[in-house]
Amino acid sequence: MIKATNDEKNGVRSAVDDGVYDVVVVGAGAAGLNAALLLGRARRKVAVIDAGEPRNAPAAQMHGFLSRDGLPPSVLLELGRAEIASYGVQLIRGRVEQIDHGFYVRMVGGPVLKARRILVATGLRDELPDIPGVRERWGKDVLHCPYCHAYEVRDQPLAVLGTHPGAVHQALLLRQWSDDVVFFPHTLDLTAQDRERLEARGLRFVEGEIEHLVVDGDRLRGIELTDGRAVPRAAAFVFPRAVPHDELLTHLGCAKGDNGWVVTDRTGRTGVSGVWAAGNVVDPRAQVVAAAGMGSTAAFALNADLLEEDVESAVEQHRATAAATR
Amino acid sequence: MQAPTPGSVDSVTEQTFDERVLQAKRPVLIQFWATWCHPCRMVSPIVEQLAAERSGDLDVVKVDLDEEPELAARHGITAVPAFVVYAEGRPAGSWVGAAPKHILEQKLAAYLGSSAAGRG
Repeated sequence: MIKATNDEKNGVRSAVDDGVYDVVVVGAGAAGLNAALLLGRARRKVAVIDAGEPRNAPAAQMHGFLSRDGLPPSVLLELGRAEIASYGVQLIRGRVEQIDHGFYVRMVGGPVLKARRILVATGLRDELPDIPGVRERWGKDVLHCPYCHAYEVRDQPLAVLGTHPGAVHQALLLRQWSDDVVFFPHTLDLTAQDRERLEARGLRFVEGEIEHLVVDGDRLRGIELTDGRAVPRAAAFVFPRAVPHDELLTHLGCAKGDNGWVVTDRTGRTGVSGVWAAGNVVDPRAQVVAAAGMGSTAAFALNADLLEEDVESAVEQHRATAAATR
Repeated sequence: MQAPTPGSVDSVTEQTFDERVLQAKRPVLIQFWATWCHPCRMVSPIVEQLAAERSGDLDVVKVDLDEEPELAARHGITAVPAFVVYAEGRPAGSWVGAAPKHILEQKLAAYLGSSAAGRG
């Protein structure tokens, strides 16, 4: 039965006092925080659990976010955390081990939170190629997303490292920012069509296996090959393998599509009732602003879903009361 | 006008290029290099040794890629270490990459003819 307090009758904020959260959000990145912001403003009881490992932490700035262009990613999260706190959303530091149907959110170290709905916004991890120097310079002058970081290295000598088939499109795209782009096929087998397209676009090839990235004076200086050549470059682009942090979702039974990513509808609703997902955990292409938007969209849908349940309960209670007083 | 010290590997710049390379009486081996380039550091002692051994018939100079981007661009240098051989004020040949001394000597001989190749 729904427990209603005196001043909050008829299903509104019905779960406040029984320790059950309306929504537990896992992950306090852009998607999770924006969802929590909307849900907090909708006066839902919300907890956000965050392990504190944002994907974009190595980057000094984030870009392409209207009114927040160039802001350090950590500052966006700080601002977001302050905003959700002002609406009474609880932010819990920690890692979620598993979520069981019901929903029981089991945290590492023991605590269990009970929730009516779940939003998983745990993001993804960039698996970097095993070339010495790549990890060291990741987010500084070894970059991934042209839309996010190419403008800052425009007109400079750029490298694209052939470690992933996605590097071909990345290289075609990068020509928009610099006319000096060298493609290092490295271990990648390029098709004749790939080569033609890259050549037509004005890219240069440097064949041979990459030995390491040359870093000197806290900046990338060049790409050194195993055959004893070093090619001067100011920045390098790599295409990491994006691995979603979706174990919580798959444990709950959320289905994955042919592309290996958990399937959701346009609001982030997964195939499992009551479970939503937003941001990079379901969409590797979402930039910070897109992830925030996905969180906002999911929050609307989550609240609507909760509302439907709240109204049904209220009607039931209403009918019971009416029957008792007849 | 400073005269090149026989056997040394001086740096040339845009300003000294004419005098030291284009107007040189003898063939010139130019090594393009960069401070950050490990293969360049590996090959530099070999180049210095070669310069000393061939001081009778060959000038050897070096160009820092980052200091002299124009010179590098004009020679189409896209990787270092890179070598360009000049004879009678004109480029006679070029190659890229660090290599052992005997390969360096072979390349020189190929571009300058056997008369200019050191023999032991």
